[in-house]
Amino acid sequence: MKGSEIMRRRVASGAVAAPLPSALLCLVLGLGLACGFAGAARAAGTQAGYDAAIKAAEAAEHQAGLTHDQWTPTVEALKAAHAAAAAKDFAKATELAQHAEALAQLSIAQAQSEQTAWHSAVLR
Amino acid sequence: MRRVIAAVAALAMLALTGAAPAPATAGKSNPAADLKAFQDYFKTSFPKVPFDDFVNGPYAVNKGMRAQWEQIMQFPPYDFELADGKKLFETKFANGKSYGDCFPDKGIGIAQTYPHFDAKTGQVVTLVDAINACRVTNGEAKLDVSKGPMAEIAAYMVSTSHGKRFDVTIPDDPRALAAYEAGKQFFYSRRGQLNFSCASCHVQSAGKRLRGDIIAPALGLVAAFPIYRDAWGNIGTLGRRFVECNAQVRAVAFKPDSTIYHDLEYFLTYMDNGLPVTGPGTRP
Amino acid sequence: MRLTIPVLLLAAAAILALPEIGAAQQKPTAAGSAAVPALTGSALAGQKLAFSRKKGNCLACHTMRGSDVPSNVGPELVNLKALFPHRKDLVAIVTNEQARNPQTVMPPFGKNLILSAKEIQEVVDFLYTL
Ligand code: HEC
Ligand code: HEC
Repeated sequence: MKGSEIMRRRVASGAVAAPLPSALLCLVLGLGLACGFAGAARAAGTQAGYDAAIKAAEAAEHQAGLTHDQWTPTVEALKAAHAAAAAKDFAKATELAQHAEALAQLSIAQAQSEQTAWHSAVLR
Repeated sequence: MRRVIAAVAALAMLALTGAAPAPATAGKSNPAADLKAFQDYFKTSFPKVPFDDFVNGPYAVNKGMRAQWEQIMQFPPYDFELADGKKLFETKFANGKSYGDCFPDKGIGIAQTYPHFDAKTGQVVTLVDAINACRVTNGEAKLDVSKGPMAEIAAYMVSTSHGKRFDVTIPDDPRALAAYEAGKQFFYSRRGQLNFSCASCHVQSAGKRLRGDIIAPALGLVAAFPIYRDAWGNIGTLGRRFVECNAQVRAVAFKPDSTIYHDLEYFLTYMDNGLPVTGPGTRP
Repeated sequence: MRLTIPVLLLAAAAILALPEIGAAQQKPTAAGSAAVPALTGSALAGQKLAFSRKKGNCLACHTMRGSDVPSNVGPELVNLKALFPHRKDLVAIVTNEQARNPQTVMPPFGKNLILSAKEIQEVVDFLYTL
């Protein structure tokens, strides 16, 4: 039931991440510290854009929870996104939400590949 | 797509059973064979460490640390908490009963059999669970499972098993085997942003230096619990340590009394079968 | 394949773990040795990243010039220009060492967004000063 949703999220995150490499980059760099300008210039920073991004991020993080593999940096990024949105900085909030979604997708991918990969580490 | 469906199906199963699914590719579960391979690996990797010494974790594999430890142990830092634990253990509940009434042999010298599988409930029961269950049966509130009185009572009970050897059994019951397999899978699965499994450190990097720490080998990893940790400044349970080891790889940790940690404790303690019970222990 | 990995691991662990037992003294390392070049610019930024616990935390596993803890989960990082003349090889190791060695314990700094692409370039600039 959730399968198609995961796929859609995947595609969505790919589509979002591709045209915004520098935004992602500066997120990783300093979580928006030095990126205020670049981010604001790029993403217009609308409430609607943020709403969509945070919804996608939270859906992905929920999936990660179902795989029993959530990452603390995802939780931190989501929290920071909410804080930025509360301060009406939607450009920053959107970037943080997109970063959180990217991390959540990575954690889901890790859980899926470990479903089989762990066998090769077993002492036998 | 098929992978996703399989994953979703697996998750559904997980939600139903409360245990991680047994991997489809693995053959029949064989804990005894796992145990032999596991213990042989460490005996071969550390040929100079006597088998019983693995319970001493980092001190077994590093001489410098061992010397420091021997100094510390002239006045074990957990002495007060151990004494408190004995007092608490012997104190009667409001209804006049006490902990001893909940356990075989009055709770003395039995810690080596935990965790055990309860065929009635289908659950893995840790010593910590059994202590809380005893309280609930006697109309008392549950204790925090990480530290404080719980860790002290567990420390005392464990201390009465000194000289006995771990003797955890995994009955031929699909639910017990599923719990064991789930613990094993968790131990070997990478998780967190830093992408480590427990085995990445406690098998692959056992005995190595990670910043100031010497990484304890997975054999004997749980044999000295509860432990007094300098970093904590008091005594704590295994669940408390699991939470930390999950968090340091940037994974969201589970609750210290979650099903998955129970399964993990079941697997790891079974791997320690044959080693002497040594808790409470002391660690940096 | 199933068998070879554990066997290799076993061999590696045996070789690496043995000297640890009874080795109260650490082997002298490059740390603290002479001729420490003053780092500037990108290499300096890279050193900060490599030493920071929150970011690279390379010191947790590797000993290298300037480190104050004798870690040995990974090999000592020294003389990297000679070992990895091609910059892209070093970038690849820091980005995702699992691509080269599926069983490695080294975190995939690039793949898992621990370090950005720019930060990895800075770390590599620093590595080339070792
Ligand atoms: C990044 C490396 C790393 C990972 C991954 C890791 N640990 Fe640890 N663990 C340590 C270090 C370092 C210590 C403290 C030194 C020691 O005693 O080994 C430790 C201590 C422990 C202890 C206490 C052992 C003792 O002798 O006091 C237990 C139990 C433990 N870890 C279990 C786990 C479990 C279970 C996992 C997987 C969920 C895990 N660890 C993952 C590094 C790690
Ligand atoms: C958890 C431990 C760990 C951490 C943290 C770590 N490494 Fe490694 N690293 C290793 C191990 C183990 C190897 C050995 C190769 C392998 O496992 O595939 C290695 C190999 C390397 C190599 C290749 C060295 C050679 O001689 O072959 C380089 C370069 C390197 N690491 C750089 C880094 C840098 C830079 C960082 C920090 C950004 C870092 N490492 C963090 C464990 C680690």
